[in-house]
Amino acid sequence: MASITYEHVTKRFDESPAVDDLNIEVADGEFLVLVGPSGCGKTTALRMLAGLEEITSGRILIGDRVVNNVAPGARNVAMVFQSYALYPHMTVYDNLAFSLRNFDVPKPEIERRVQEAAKVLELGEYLKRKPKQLSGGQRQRVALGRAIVREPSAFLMDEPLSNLDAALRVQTRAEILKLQQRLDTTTIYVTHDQVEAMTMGDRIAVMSRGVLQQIGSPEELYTRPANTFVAKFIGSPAMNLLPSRELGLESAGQLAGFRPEHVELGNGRTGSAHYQANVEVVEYLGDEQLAHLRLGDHDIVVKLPVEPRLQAGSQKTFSVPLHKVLLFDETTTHAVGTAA
Amino acid sequence: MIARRLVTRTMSAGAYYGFLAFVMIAALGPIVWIMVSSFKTNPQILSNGSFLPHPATAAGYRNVFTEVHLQTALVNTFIYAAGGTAGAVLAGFLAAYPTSRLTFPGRHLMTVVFSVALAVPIVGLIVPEFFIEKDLGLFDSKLGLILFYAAMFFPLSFVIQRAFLVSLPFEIEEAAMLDGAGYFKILGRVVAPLAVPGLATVAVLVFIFIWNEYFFAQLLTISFGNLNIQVTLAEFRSAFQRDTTAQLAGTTIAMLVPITAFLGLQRYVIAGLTAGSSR
Amino acid sequence: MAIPIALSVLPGVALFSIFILVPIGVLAVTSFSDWSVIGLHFVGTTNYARLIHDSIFWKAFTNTVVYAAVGIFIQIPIGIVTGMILAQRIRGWKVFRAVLFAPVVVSGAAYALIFANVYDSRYGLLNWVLHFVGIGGRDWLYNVSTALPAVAATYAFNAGFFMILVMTEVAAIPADILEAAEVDGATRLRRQRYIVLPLLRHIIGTCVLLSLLSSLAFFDIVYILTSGGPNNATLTLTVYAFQQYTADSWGYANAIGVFIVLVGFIVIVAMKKLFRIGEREL
Repeated sequence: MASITYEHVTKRFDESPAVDDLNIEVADGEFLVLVGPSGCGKTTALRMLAGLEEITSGRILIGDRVVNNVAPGARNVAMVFQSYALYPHMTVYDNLAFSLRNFDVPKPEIERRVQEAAKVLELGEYLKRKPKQLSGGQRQRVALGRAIVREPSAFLMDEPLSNLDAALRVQTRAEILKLQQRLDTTTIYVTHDQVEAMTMGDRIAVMSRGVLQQIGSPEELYTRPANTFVAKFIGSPAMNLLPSRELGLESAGQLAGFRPEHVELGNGRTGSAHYQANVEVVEYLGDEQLAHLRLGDHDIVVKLPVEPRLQAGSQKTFSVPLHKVLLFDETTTHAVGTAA
Repeated sequence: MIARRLVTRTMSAGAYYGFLAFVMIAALGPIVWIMVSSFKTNPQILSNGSFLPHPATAAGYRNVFTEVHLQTALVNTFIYAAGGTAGAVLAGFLAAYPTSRLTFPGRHLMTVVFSVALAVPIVGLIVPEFFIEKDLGLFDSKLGLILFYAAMFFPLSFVIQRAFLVSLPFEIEEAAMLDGAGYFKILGRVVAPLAVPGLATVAVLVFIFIWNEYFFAQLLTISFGNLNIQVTLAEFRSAFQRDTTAQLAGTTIAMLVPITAFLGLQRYVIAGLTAGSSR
Repeated sequence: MAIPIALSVLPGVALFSIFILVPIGVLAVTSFSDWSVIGLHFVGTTNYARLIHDSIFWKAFTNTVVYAAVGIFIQIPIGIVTGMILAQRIRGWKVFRAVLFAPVVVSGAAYALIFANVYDSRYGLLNWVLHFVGIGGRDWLYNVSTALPAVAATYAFNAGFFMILVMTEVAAIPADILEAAEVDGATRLRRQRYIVLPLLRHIIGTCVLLSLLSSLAFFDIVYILTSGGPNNATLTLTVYAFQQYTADSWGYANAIGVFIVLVGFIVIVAMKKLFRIGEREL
């Protein structure tokens, strides 16, 4: 149980930094998600914490201990790898016990912890099997089990769900959350899937090209994105971003952003911006419809109630409440407030 | 923490390098000694004064070509290696392709038989090979030995090339078939260029093996004009015991060909051996 | 489609049949005869009966077993250790790999010449070194008790081939398994011993198989260096068979040949069953 701190952490493999001046403070017991597109540096950041990558500059602290030069095995962190990295020649029991044996934990204690983890993860009947005899979901649980038995200061998870099929993924997501809440262990969770990020994290840290874009609660990131990258990355379908004049707003050099679900058909009430656009494609989802619009050079996606049904090829007026329109500076991409 | 990590790292590095150095000396010591001593005069060698030549002389090398006429053996060995390699590689490719792609009766049987033959020690076949060559009029002839080598290394060539070929995607051949190309055309124009890595790997390996081959060379050839270099070297033991320098020079020359081939073509040699042994 | 395929496999099949299949058939059949210069008469199992009581044959057999043991218990372990060391990519590993593998491409005949000189009692390298450190030298190749070890020492340290096989196999181990072990607190040594080494079981089995087969076929070095002597101290099955051939005892030579080929066959089948070579763990 410990806090984790990244202090001006930078990692260079060559000229351009893979992680650039990263500063994050994770509270003890917090579930932090590191999210971003591939190549954004999230995995590198995690690996530096694990000790699998050297830190070019800056410090990483676990608790109040600087761990820059501490061997991975001595940091008291447990890692769940994307590919699970189970030891193929060992039984599930030995896979779970391996780390404990390295630390000379007495046998009865090893037995207790392994059985306990096996019970929690429902692996009891598989203890004598080898990884190749297990299904993907079972292997994933062994990987989690390996982390649990350590009773570490922190869990580090590197996209643990990406190798599972969709149904299993949703189920396991919930199980991981329950587990973490129960054990109350600090967890750093890396994923490229913003849905996973939104549903799992106490806080989310969005990264792009090695730079931390924003860190905050899911709601903060959703309603008050700090820049256009976060605005477009979080939420699906993505936020619409256009030059603000397209919406009839005065401000020059700014982009206006609004979420598909905040759009209404028609001129709307006072305090709304409106625009006319061509309806190109309509997706009927049963409980709502997604319409893909075209306004000049820009594509817009709107989410509307099923009635009235829109027709492809028609031109309609749409409106968005001004307090739901976020403004971003075109050059710096930073948020500058709402249009209201 | 840092200091302790560094100390254990240096200790294990020391142990590693120490062990490697030991193995290197044991494995290469004799070879290096021979190469170095090949530049000593006979009296120097016999007296064993110093490790290095003092002074150095190329007399051994000269004698090797003037007295022993090693150049004949060198040329012969090259002919055998080139010819045998060409035969084995070609036959192997022509047989590996259909067995890796197409279904026909006997395909599985052939594959298994050829693969097993790879491991069977054919040194046991002394007498039959001798008589077969004799009865076919191939005894003590360059063609005879070349054909033999092609057959001897055909299984290896087959196994390695098949391993390469099964990993090639066959959409391209299907496209060629739809374009109306016949079997041998596809083989020569479409598959062969893609199979070059496999072909090269086998070629390098087989060349070195044939170059080094002694047993069947001395069994199947006797006249001086047909001897390869290994057989000639073996003659050194008896015929040239006086001239040790020439012995050493001849040995060095014989070794240098496969060693340079290996150093220049390491990738292929290593790839070939790993592919061949995993079968 | 049938004709091109037939044509395609023809060269290989022809070569194989003429120089491998037919000879094996001839070998097997004539091993039951007294074939020599005089002629060929079938004598049933006489040759094999003679083989069983032939003390020289058994000497050759036990020698071959000793050579195999040296290969398995000295050469292979050296190959494994060097392979595991270099697989960790220490500084200069590419150079070491080339240097340690180069001896593998040196021919048997060359080795025979090399060691004939190394073991020479007057000027040989070995005696020179031993004199240097104060121990006396021996006449290595002409002494019945030292000849066999001397011959075995010519290849015992030549482990480059096995080293390469091990290196390739280690490279196939997914990197994150080793990283997981590192995070799980295993030191470098523990990772090699508990993770890498167990995963090498398959390739070690292959190495043992290859070593056994090459011991069975061991000829060049022995024949050129010692001709099998002194007093059959270094004799191998292949050299013995060859001696029978030069003595025109072709039927008998073929019986020995059959023995060699059969043992080879049995070894392959047994090894596949025993070590389940051909099955992968990952």
